[in-house]
Amino acid sequence: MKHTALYEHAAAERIRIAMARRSGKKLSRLAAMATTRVEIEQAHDATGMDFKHEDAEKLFAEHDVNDAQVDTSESDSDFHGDVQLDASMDFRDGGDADPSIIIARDDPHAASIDDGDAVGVVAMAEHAVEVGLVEQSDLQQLCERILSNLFVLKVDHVLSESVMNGLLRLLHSILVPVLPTELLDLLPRSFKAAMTIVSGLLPTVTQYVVCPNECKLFERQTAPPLCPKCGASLFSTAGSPVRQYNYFPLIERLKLWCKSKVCPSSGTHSRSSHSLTDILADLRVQAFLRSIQFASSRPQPPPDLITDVYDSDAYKWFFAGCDPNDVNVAFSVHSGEILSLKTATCFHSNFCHRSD
Amino acid sequence: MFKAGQTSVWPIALTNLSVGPHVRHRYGNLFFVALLPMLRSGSKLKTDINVFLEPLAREFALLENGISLPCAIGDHDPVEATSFTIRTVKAKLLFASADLRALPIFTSMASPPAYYSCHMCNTKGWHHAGTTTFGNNHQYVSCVSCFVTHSNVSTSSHAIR
Repeated sequence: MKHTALYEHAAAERIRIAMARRSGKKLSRLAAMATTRVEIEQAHDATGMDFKHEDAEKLFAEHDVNDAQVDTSESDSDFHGDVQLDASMDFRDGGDADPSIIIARDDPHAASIDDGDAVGVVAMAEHAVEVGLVEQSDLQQLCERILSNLFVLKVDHVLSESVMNGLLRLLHSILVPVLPTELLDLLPRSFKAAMTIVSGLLPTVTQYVVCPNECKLFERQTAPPLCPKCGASLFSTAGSPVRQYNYFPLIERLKLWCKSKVCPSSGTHSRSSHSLTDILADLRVQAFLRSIQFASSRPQPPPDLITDVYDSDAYKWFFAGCDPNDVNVAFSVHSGEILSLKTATCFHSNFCHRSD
Repeated sequence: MFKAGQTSVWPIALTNLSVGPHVRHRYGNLFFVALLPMLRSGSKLKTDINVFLEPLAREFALLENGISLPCAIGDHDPVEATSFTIRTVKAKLLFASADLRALPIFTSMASPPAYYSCHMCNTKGWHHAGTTTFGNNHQYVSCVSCFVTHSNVSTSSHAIR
């Protein structure tokens, strides 16, 4: 089994343990179950053999009987069902069972877990990292996955920055008692910190300093202190520019567009891969070769019918000898609050439906 | 985009006409290239937009001759990594569009409350109910003749700008 999948299930189980502790249930049996799973995985890695999930259920059932003799006052049947479900998910691969895989419970970490303290669960996670069961890179991948899912959630539902700050704070408050400190250090505590992590994958921004009288643009690195034309000061006393202009270079966007993956059904986002790079690439998913040949491969309408800009007389007159595979763009500028509407935007409500 | 006091921000988007018409206005296919910092003095905007379009014009001058970009090939697998080929990509600007508040600024013409606010002819309108009217009880921002015949300017019955 892949270490990443194991760690994710272990993390989900720890979250469930924390929720169970909040509802007043005892941790001893639950933590012991988690320990047994890690032991089985260790033995699995050591022997290189796979197990059927029936065998895993037998193991967990045997462990349940032992624990039921110790503590018969628990009534956590709901959680018991969850564990069996996880067992069937973890031991999905077929193979032969080895009766010698049950390791004696003399591990000091396991003994600390039996105390029923959440610190024992953390110690178990640290122990798993130490023995190489979970690598540090897996923690980073999990952090990236959490960040990417949050980013997609923000993009899909147009969440505000304050909501994202609240979500990240909530994640921290929930995960502090159950996750190792390495992962907590990787998780940002605010949306601003999260954006610094993904800033390398976002589009390039060129910052210009604008003369207050709008004489000329100056690049931020080479801007003089005074405007050479009108003599106005470009920077304030604190050193920040009086007016700043953010420009997203078109050529950089075209580079990303051309390098993006080819999707035969244009407009459908492929979410099969969940790494941060792939999801950000899916956000700008484009059918490059398919779409760039749209002008030449589209069906020709009757001569007196205009269905697109390519059917107009002006296009045929201006661009008669041009390569049909060129990228054609149209410039549009909009005033007002077109991007602040959460339910329907100007583009979706008017332009898309009209073109459909 | 938003307005706070004397400033507002206007987005400039480039619509990719090489994509099909049903998907070309989606956010993933739009190229947002600039956020214009607009200043206003009272109720009038006093921003010269031509200054802010200089970087875009410089890039279009490069794209007119074509630039070499690595492009993805392998057209039927949306998940696996595709291979790349170097290809000369040209881009050209076909037309521009703007809303009613941005159009007078880009065309350096009068905004709709003015008497000569029709962008196609020299007909003088008159004020009625707070807006400019060009007759026939229609409160169009353009005069009626130009509004009806805007697709074929040569058939307009009066002087064209």
